[in-house]
Amino acid sequence: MMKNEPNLKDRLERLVASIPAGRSHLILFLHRVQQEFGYLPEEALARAAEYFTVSPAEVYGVVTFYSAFQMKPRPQHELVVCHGTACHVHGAEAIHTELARLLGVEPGKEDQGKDVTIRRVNCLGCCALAPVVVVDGEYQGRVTRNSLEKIVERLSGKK
Amino acid sequence: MSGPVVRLKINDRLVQARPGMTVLECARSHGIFIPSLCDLEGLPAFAGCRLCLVEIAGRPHRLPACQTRVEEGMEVITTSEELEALRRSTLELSLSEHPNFCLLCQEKANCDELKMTMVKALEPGGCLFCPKDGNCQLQQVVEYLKVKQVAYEFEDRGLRLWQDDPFIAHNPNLCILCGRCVRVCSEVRGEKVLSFIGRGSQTAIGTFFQRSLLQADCSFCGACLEVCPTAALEEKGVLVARGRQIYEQPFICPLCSSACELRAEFVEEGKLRRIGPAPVEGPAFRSGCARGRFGLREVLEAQLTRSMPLVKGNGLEQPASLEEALAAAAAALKKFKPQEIGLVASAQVSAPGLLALAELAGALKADNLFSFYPEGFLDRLNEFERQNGIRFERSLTRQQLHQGQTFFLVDTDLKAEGLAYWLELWPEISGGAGYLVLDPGLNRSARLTDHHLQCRPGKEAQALLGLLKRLTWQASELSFYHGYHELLDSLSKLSAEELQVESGLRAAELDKAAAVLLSGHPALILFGERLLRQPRWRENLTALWNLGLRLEARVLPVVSRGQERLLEKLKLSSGLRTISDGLQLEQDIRNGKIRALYVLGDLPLAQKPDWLLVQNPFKTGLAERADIFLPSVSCLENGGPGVDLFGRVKMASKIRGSPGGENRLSEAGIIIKLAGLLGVELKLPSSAELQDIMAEPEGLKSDQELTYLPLPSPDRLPGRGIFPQPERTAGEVEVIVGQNLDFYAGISMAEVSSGFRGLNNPDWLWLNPAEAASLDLREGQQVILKTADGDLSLEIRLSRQIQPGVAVVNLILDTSLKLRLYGRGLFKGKLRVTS
Ligand code: SF4
Ligand code: SF4
Ligand code: SF4
Ligand code: SF4
Ligand code: FES
Repeated sequence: MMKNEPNLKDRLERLVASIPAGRSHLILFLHRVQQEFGYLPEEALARAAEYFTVSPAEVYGVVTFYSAFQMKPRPQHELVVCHGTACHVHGAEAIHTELARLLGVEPGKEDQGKDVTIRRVNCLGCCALAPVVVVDGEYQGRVTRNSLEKIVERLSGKK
Repeated sequence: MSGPVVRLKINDRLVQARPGMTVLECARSHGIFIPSLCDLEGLPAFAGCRLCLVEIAGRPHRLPACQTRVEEGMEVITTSEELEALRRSTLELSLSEHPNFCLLCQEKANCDELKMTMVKALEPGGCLFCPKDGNCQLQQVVEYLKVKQVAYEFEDRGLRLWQDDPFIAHNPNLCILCGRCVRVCSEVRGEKVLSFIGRGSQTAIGTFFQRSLLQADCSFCGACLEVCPTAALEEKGVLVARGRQIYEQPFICPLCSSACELRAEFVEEGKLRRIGPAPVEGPAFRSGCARGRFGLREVLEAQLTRSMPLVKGNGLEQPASLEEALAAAAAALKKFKPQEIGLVASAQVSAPGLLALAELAGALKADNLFSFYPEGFLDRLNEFERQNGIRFERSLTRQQLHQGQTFFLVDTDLKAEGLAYWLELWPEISGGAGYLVLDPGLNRSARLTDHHLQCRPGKEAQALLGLLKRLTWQASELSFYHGYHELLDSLSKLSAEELQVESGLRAAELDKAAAVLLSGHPALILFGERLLRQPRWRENLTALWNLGLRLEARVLPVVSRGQERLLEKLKLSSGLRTISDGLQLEQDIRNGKIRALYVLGDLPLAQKPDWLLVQNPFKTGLAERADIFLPSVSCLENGGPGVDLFGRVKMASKIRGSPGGENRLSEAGIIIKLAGLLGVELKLPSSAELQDIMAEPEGLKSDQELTYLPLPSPDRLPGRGIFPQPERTAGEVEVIVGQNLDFYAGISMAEVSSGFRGLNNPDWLWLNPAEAASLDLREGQQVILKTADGDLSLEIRLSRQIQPGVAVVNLILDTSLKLRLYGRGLFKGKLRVTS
């Protein structure tokens, strides 16, 4: 992580400086870190352990206890492919595979350190629009091979 | 039962308890079984497993016996239909996630006959294939509660096993989340490596980012293995006991001054199975460490063949019986003049061995009696005390340790060299007592604290004086002893600024540290051998003495081997001298002053005398060149006694004898027999007499007048101006040589055990990560450390605990070069990458 974010250390230190060193402030600190980075980098947890004189294992225990905390950067783009019955009938599986191919993401593996994830959900409840793909929260109905390519182009443009 | 007593009833039986005892402890002490899977003796209750619930008359709810204290007149019911049903349903929850076919199997009683068919359980696994089978607390509780079925379907958690670490394996699928390992790791050992990770059904035991134990800085103390009620945490490489008789042999661990009582387990054929701590003075998890339990095992396993006595004749080595070898030795010794005979005891010999050797020297009228003592720690301390008419303390009892309110460690890593003290101090420290560590090098005991003062190497005196300068004005104790005004005067002449620059400590750091020292009275100051194993050790001691006096603190050395204390006593009564390196001895051999040498143990010696006898458990090192080799029994069979940090003489519990154990002579026994052949009868003190020797008052009278010591004039301060800091050429480091106790009878644990090499490798050179990066050095890279005395080939290892410009090596003293560097303690070196 450090290599991609040269100023991670400085940003962390600023956060550290804004919070008193009592054990009771650990959770507050973790929240701030997550706000700042969108997730909890390993460096931040190690620094928290040092600053609050808690063991690293304990910090990790706290972080994994609350589901609100995330330890991996959230991908920039999220594609959700609906696999409900209607979508399934309309070729959701093929769409999923094709999307994965176009984006170079391994199907089924959600986090590859890329800036895109494809998630599968069981039903989005808009069966009339099947097949459905949600692109960064935006519903796209009746997708075809063609529209998939457009979606992918747009995403690459947005990057 | 002496002292105050609480009377209560358990299951209608009148029983007595000590106030403060829990109901569980009280029941147990009267042989009443209450199922329990999460309690830990001596620790606050966790009350997580809910198996120990009991009924107490007048209380509306059932209460966990592990958490409830006894009260006068209490009426406790530990077993009833209802209680067992409740416990059973609680346990079923755990069992639904634990392989349970064997546990619930109705054919259990016939398992031995049936298991051969392998079709008993639908899947292999369960107790049948478990290393814990027959010795498992979960099994015991299932048995007791007569659990016949589990209401929930078994669900295999399918979690990955931890198999990457040496010595310890974890199978999370067997874990019942009792929390014992987490608590023992943080509350007893102060390591805090383990934690509950995740929540709900996902909860598991884990480390920081699920790293391996090695990467998570685990000390491999083994305490978690000791407490796990299932096989979720298991020692690797232990021979299965199933069906075979196990023999236990208790012994006192000779590897450090904690002198833990350990237990070696053998299976029938006499094969060593494992070594673990014995519950003697407290629960087993309160003693033992990686060195004693894993390292020693590996050393002993590496020496599979039992050594035979050997006698060299006409250049040929002949196996001999002990009698023949002793006769040859006696004959040879008679040929030399007494003043030509030297006797050396190495650092790990047993107390009786040492005493016997001293007696033998006396009988031979040989005045060259040495003990090999590379640390030279107590020698220097004694010398300093004599010259200055002062006396530091030597050992404290447990109670005295607990009286301390503030603890100050100077150049000592208690976890590594004074575990028995550490385990007493840790609860105080984690409970909020003041805690400060001054140490320029690596120190495990300084982890997890923000009060680690890292001065420049060799600048301990400046750091201590920086603290003293602050304390003289702030400490409220009336410590106006003789010399106080002179002290104030000298201190005022020292520039605070200069002390900071020299010591490398910032004013704020010193302020904070001074505040810690003043935060609770009385303070206890413990210092280690590294404070004295450096050129300007006198100045260090002077500053420390004055600081201790000003704080009215107890100040004492932490000796890493209990034997040192015995040596100190012996030196006062017999002609024993210590040698810290082989130089003088080698010279005496070269110019013929010493022609015959009796070495008890092992030491690095380049020069062989005309005649050499080595008595050691293994034929290694020096023994290879001996004219006569006498195999001693190993520490397992020697039994003890050992002298511990508390100044006590410890004997191992009764020895049951290993299988096929012909009665072999102890270390001292061999010497006594040899003396017999020379016509003298040696009489060794019993362990009670030994205890008396240890208890003899020593040094100055107690009514001695306390006095401050004059400070050296500023330009006599250690290393002043020797290392002007900014001008450091790249690759030049100040090297601190640490203490390494990981060897036994001349064999380094890292050498015979790849597992141990991963833990503490004597070939590692520790560097600061940022500095290594700037020198383009990676972890694992081979380098040559060039020193004025010679070069060492080492492997880079990184730690954030190392300051830039400093390197730490923990050498095993197997060559004269290493011995010399160790003696220096601190030296400058240059790093070169090996091509
Ligand atoms: S841990 Fe105990 S109960 Fe579990 S499989 Fe092993 S022996 Fe059986
Ligand atoms: S071996 Fe010791 S330090 Fe390591 S996890 Fe177990 S209890 Fe903790
Ligand atoms: S690993 Fe063992 S000691 Fe630790 S929580 Fe699991 S069952 Fe308990
Ligand atoms: S080396 Fe020391 S602490 Fe470790 S088991 Fe032996 S005596 Fe105990
Ligand atoms: S032993 Fe009392 S609750 Fe577990």
